[in-house]
Amino acid sequence: MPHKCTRCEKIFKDGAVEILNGCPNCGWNKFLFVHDEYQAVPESTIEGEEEQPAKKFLKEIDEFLADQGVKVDEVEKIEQEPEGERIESIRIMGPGSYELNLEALLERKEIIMALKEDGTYMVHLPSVFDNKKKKKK
Amino acid sequence: MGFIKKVKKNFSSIFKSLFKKKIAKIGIYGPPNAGKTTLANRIIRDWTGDAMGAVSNVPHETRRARRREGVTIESNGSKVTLDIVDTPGLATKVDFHEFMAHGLEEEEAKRRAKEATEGIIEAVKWLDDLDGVILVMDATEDPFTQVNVTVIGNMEARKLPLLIAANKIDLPESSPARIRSAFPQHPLVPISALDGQNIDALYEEIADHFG
Repeated sequence: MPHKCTRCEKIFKDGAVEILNGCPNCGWNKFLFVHDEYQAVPESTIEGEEEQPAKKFLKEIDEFLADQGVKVDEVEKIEQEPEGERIESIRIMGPGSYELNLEALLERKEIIMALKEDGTYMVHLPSVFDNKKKKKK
Repeated sequence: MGFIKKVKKNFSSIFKSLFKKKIAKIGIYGPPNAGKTTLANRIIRDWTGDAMGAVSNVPHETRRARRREGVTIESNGSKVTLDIVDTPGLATKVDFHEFMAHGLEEEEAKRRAKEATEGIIEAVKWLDDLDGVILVMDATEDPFTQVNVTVIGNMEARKLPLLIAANKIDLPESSPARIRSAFPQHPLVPISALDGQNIDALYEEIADHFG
């Protein structure tokens, strides 16, 4: 948690030498803990590192699809393959349109993404290697 | 020497059983709009006085798993302390058109679809950390869905204790019996998370099952 000088209200990060030596701005030596804006998330939501890569991945793919000018309507016409033959955990049909293979998500640690129906797959490497690295909270 | 060791061991196990605080981490799972957050809110309000999260009739209102620690439930003399995790609804398809049908703008609908997809992945990953699951099903809907069958099959494989809450019995078209006959191998409690009907039976079952 950062510290705030109680006289001039300048903020120093946690562990800064200025806290020991006195505020370089006004020479004061009393400091107060303050919440920084990154920590101001409500306690009830769980912030984990593990979902961040998935978020980034989805965003990248959405941008990629948008660049390619893919329209969701075109994608929907294509027929579905049977559930059992699917290896991917998520299929991205277009921006804002996703199909989830719960069986694969539940049974496998790794996340495999498929793009539309065109046989393009992406393996999400952090989820393959991560496994038990996850911190218990 | 052996005798002393034995006494010591016995004593420590008695001591542990007297003072050990049991905490079970329980996840509330189910398809979107089954009433998971309504149930989580009711449990938490009944036993702690707080609330868990917002509810609405737009699917995927809960898009991040939420956890509440140390909720103690007492029923029929048994007491159990739970960490409760309310999860986003499990679905096999998330499409922004569905949200647009509920009156959301396209941009907002797409953002919601993306968050809901992340939320489902997050909910599945949470399963690794749990000691038991309350599976909430909408008793007005057909229980034989891909989501229900897949989730129940997987929890059986993980040997996770499972309790089915057949929700929405306040609605006349609900049929908890249909769920019971679909999944007879698991304990089931018909409830209305909304108006609290039969909720005490659920607490009794929770204390029995997860305590």
